[in-house]
Amino acid sequence: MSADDLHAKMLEGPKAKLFTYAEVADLVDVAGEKLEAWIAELHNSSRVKVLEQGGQVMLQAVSIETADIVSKLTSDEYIVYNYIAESERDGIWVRTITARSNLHINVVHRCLKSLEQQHIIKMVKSVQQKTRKMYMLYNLQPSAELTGGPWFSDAELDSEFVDLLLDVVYHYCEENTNLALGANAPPVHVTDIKQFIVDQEVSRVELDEGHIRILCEVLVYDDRLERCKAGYKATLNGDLPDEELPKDAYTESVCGQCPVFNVCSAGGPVDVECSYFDEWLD
Amino acid sequence: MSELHNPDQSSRALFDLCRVLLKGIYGELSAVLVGSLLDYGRQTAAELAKTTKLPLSAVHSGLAALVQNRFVLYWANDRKSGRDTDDIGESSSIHYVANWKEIYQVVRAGGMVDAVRKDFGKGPGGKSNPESGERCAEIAQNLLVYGHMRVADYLEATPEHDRDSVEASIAVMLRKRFLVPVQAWQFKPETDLYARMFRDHLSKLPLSMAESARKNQAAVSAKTELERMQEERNSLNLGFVSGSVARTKGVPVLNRAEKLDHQAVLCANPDKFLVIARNEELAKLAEERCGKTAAEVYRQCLSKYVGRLHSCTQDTSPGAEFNITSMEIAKTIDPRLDGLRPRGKGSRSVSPRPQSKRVKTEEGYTKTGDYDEKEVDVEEDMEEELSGVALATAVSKQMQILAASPLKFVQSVGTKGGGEWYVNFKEATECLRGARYEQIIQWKYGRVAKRLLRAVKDKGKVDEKLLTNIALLPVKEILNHLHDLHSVGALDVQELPRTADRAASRTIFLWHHRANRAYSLISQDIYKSLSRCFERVAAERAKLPILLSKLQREDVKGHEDEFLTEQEKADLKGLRMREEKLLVQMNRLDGLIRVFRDY
Repeated sequence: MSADDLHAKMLEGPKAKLFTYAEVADLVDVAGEKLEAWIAELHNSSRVKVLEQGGQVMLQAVSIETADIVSKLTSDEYIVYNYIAESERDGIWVRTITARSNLHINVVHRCLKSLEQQHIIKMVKSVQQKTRKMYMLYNLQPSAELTGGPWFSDAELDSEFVDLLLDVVYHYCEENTNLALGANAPPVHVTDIKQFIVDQEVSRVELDEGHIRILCEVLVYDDRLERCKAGYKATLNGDLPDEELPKDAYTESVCGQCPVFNVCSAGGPVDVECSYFDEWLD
Repeated sequence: MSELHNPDQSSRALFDLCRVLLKGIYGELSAVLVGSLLDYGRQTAAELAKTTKLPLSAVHSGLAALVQNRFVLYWANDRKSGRDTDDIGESSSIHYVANWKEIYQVVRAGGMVDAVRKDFGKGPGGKSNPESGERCAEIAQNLLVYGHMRVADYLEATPEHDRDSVEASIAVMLRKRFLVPVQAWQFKPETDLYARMFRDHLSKLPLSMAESARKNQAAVSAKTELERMQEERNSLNLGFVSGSVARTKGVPVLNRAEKLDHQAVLCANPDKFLVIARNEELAKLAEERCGKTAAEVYRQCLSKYVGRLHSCTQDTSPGAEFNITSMEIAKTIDPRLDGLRPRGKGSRSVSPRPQSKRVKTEEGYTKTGDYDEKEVDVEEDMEEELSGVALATAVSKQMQILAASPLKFVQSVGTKGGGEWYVNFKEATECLRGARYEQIIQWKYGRVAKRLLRAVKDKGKVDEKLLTNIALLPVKEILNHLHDLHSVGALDVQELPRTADRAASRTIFLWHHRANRAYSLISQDIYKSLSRCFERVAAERAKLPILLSKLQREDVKGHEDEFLTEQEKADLKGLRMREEKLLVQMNRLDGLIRVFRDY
C-alpha cells in the first residue's frame, strides 16, 4: 500500500466526493502518522485538495491529469484555475473571478494570460453579454446558453445557415402539403421535418424538435407556413419571389413609393411638375 | 354611432382631400366654404362670409347646394334663449358644420353606380338584363349628384314614356336597399342630436339622484334613443305606402304588393355598397390565400349575406338568420367551376397552380411540375356535371379549406344542409385589415420587417433580445427594421427604466403593435395619396384648356369626329387615358380606405 493506492481509491467513488479524515482512514485501513504522511505527499503533488465544509476539514481527490497541470501552477494561478474549473461549461467572467478571489485585477490578468498560453484555459464569447470576456477550461465545449444554440457561430447569429434551414424546412413542408385534401389534409409534423433534416444531413450541428419548431414559427411569421392543428402546412404564395407577390393599391400608386412623400402636401410645388407622376403615367 | 365612439378621424390629410374633391367636382365656392368650416369648426353664414371674405349672398347660395348633398350639416339655435330649435325662422341663428363623411363618398360615386349596374344588370335566373342595369345605374347616378330627391319630383323630370319603368326600378332599388329614404335628422350633426337627447333625458331624471349616476343614466338613454332613431332607417317598409313586413324563415321580407310612396325622399345608400364591396374584398383575399375555387365558393357564400345585412357595422351572431348551408351555395354556384369536381386520388389538381409547381431540382427536391396532368384530363372528360348532393359536398370541401385558414374566413356551425357555415365579419375583416397592412409593410420595408411585425403581433410586447430568438435575426439588423416600423407607426415602443436615471443602456424597450393607430396612420397617407391623384387629374385637364372648352361647345358635342383636328383627337385620347388611369388608381386606394376604416 502506498499513497498512490489511497489516491486511486479516493478516485473510485463518485466524482468530487468529499472525504473526512476518518473516511480516508477507512479506505486504506491505515491511521496515524503513516496516513498523515501519505496525505501530505498527495497534497504536495496536488493530487488531493483540502477543503472546508461545515467547519470540518475535508479531502477531495484530483485526477492525475489535472494534478499534472495544477502542480505546475503558481499559487495565484491555482486560485484562478480553480474558479474557472468550477464554472465548467458556462464559463466565468474575469470580474467575477476578481470579486470572488480578492486578487488584484492585474494579478488575475497575469494569471489568465499565463494559463491561456499554456492552453489550460480559453476565452469564449458569450452571446448574451458580447463585451464580457468569459473563460473556461481549454478542453470543454461552451454550453448552449453561452453560444446561443445552434444558430450562432462565433457568438454571431449565422444568418446564412438559418436562411438555408428555413428554405429546407419550407420546401419540405411544401412538398408534403396536400391541398387537394382540403381541410382534412394531414399537417406536416415537426418530427417528420426533423427526421428529414437528419436524413439529408443538412445541418452540421445537432437540432432537436424545439429548434425545428422555432424555424417553423419563423416561417409562419414570414407567411410561408400556416399553423394548423398539430403541425404546419405551406401557404399558397409562400414560394413566390418578392417581385411576384400581389401588390396593394397604395404600393402601386405614385405616392406609395415616392421618396419625398413626407415633404409633399396639397397644392405643393411638386404638384404639376411631379416627375414621379409623369413617370408613372407614361 | 360611429362618430361618437370612434377616435376622431379628422386630420389634415382628410381635410385636404375633401377640399380637393369639392374643388374638382362642385367648384371653387364649395371648396372654400367647406375648407373654412373644416379649418375653423362650426360657423354661421355671417361668420363664414367674414372668414372666407365672400359676399353673404354667395355664401348662402353655396351653402344651399352643400346642404342639399349633406356635405354641410346645420343646427339651429334660438337667438334669444340660446336653446336649439327645430323651426328655422328670423329669430334663429343657424350654425353650419362640414360633414367629411359625405364629402368623402364622392370618391366612391363611380364604384357605387357600377355596383348598381352590376346587380340590376342580371335579371332573375342569372340572365343578363343590361337595359334595367343601365336604368338603375342612371337613377343612382342622379341621386348621387343631387344628394337626395323626392320620388314625385324625379318622376316628373323623366320623360312620360319612361315613367312606369323608372318607377318600377326605383321600387326595386328601394326594396333591395340600394336606395334609402332620407330623414330630417340626417341633415343635423350627430353630436348635436346626441347632446339634445342627453339634455332632455337629464332634465327628466329626479334631482334626488347622485349627479354622476344621473349623468350616466342620461347618457345611456340618449345613446339608445339615438341608436333607435338610426335603426329606423333599416326598417324595410320605409318609403312604401302602407308597407308591412312579413317574415319567412326568420329573414324579414317585404310584402311584394306594396306601392312606392311618391312623397318619400330618397338617396343612394352607401352602406349597401360597402356590404357588397366588402364581400368582394374578402373573396379576393380568399383567392390569394386559398385558391380560385375556394374563393369562388366563398364569393357565393358571401353574396347570400347581401340581402341580410344593411350595413357593415351590423352585429351578427350564428343562428338561422345568418347561417348559410352548403346546399344554398350549391344552388347558385356554377357546377362547371374548375376544381370543384373531385379528381384522381391524391392528385394536387385542386391546387390553384397545378403546373410549374417546382422547378428547383438541386438539394434533393423532386420535380413535381406536371403532376399526372394527362391522366386527370381524361378523367375530367369522363365525369359528368356535378349536381345536388354531390355538388354540395364539393362546396363543403372548399368551405372547409376556408374554415381551416388562420384568416378566419368562415366558421363551421353545423351539419344541416350538407354543412352549415357562418361568416363572422368582425373577425374576418380584422384579418383582412391585418393582411393588407402587412402587405403594405412588406412592399415598403421588405420581408424582414414583415417577419418582425408579425412576430410582435403574435407575442404582444417583446424586447429586442426575445425578438432575436423568435425571429432568428441578428440584433443589429432587427434594430434598423424596428426603427423603420416605428417611424410609420406600425410598432410602438414602451420604455421600462431599470434605474432611476433612465439611462438607455439600463432600459428595457418593449415593442408592440397597436393596430388602430397603425391603420389610422396609414389611412392618412392614403388620403394624401388620393388627393394628389385627384389634383393630378385637374392638372392634366388644365394643360388642355382650349380643347376642353371646345368640347363643351354645343355644336361640337356629339360630333367630335368632324370638328376635332387629328392633333386634338390624339391629345384627347391621351388625356382620357391618363384620367382613367388616375381615377382607377383612386378607386383602388379607396378600396384600402374602406378596408382600414369602414368595414
